[in-house]
Amino acid sequence: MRLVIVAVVTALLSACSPGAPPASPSVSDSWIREAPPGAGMTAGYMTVVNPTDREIEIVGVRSEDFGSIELHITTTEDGVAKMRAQDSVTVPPGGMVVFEPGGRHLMMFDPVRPLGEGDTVMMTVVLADGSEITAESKIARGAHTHHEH
Amino acid sequence: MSRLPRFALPALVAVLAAVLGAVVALQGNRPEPLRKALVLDSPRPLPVFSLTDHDGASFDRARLEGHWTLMFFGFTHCPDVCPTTLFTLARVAEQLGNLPDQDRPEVVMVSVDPNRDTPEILASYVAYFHPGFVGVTGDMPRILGLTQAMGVAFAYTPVEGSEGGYAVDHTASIFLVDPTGRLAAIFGSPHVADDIAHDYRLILESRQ
Repeated sequence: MRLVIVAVVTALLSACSPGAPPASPSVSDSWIREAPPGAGMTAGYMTVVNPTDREIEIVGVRSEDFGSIELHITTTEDGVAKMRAQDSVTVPPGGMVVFEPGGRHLMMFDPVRPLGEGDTVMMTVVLADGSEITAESKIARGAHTHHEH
Repeated sequence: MSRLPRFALPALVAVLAAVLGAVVALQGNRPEPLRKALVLDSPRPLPVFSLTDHDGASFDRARLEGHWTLMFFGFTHCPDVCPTTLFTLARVAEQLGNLPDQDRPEVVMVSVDPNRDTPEILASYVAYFHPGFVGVTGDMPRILGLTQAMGVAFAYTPVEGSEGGYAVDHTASIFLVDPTGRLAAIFGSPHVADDIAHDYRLILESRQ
């Protein structure tokens, strides 16, 4: 019986980390809204996953394709939507933070080239400990949001 | 079981069936509930106003008459809330596409940033989301005349990342104006196309 349990636990452990080095923070589902004509700026979205046992702090994002990128959050109070810059965003150990329409987003200023649907942009997410995560983001019209399935 | 009168079981079944039938009938008669819309008990007439549409033509209260209008307040330099809302409204328009012409709502975005949002800029902006959408702008006092009457709040805040840049905090609700130019219902955010289209149909039916 004990052998069986050991075997199961071993199988579960190896399923979680298939022989690779310990999992590190990652960025997934990242996309940037194609700027509508006249808008001048746009928003980017992503999911940051932190599989480590320590919290991580996102302190910035940069891309060669944009003059500057800021961490922003939209909040709605008494029906009024407000957009505010944030100095950093913390991702708890074993948790994730989702940047999505109507909530946290990346405010992308001054694109250096015309970007249309289907183009890709490389983004670098900078953490407080100096480490960086690179992610490829697709430009999308953004007709779909998580709220709408 | 053997101690019960002979007709007890059939009687019980009959009573249960009657109760069940009554419940089903009641539910059938009960109006389907609204999912999101806050319907005004008595629709509120909008004040006289005089703005400009994205073609440079006059946009006044008479332009709201004869059809329903979904009205939203926003600005083109708005990267998150406004595009998300306009895409949602485009899906609402699509979902209501099978209604007769006169029952389909016109979608109007009124700018709360008239200094940057000229009719020309609005023309390409709203058309990006849907060819039928109407962009409306005008002098700030005239915009205020409409927003104040509708209970729409907005305020300017600087954006750190851009020189002289600012964002506009604004009411994110969508307003339903009836074919006589009266505010009939308000949809609070977050906006979901299915819910808005669903409630729109119910409100339309209740007015026919």
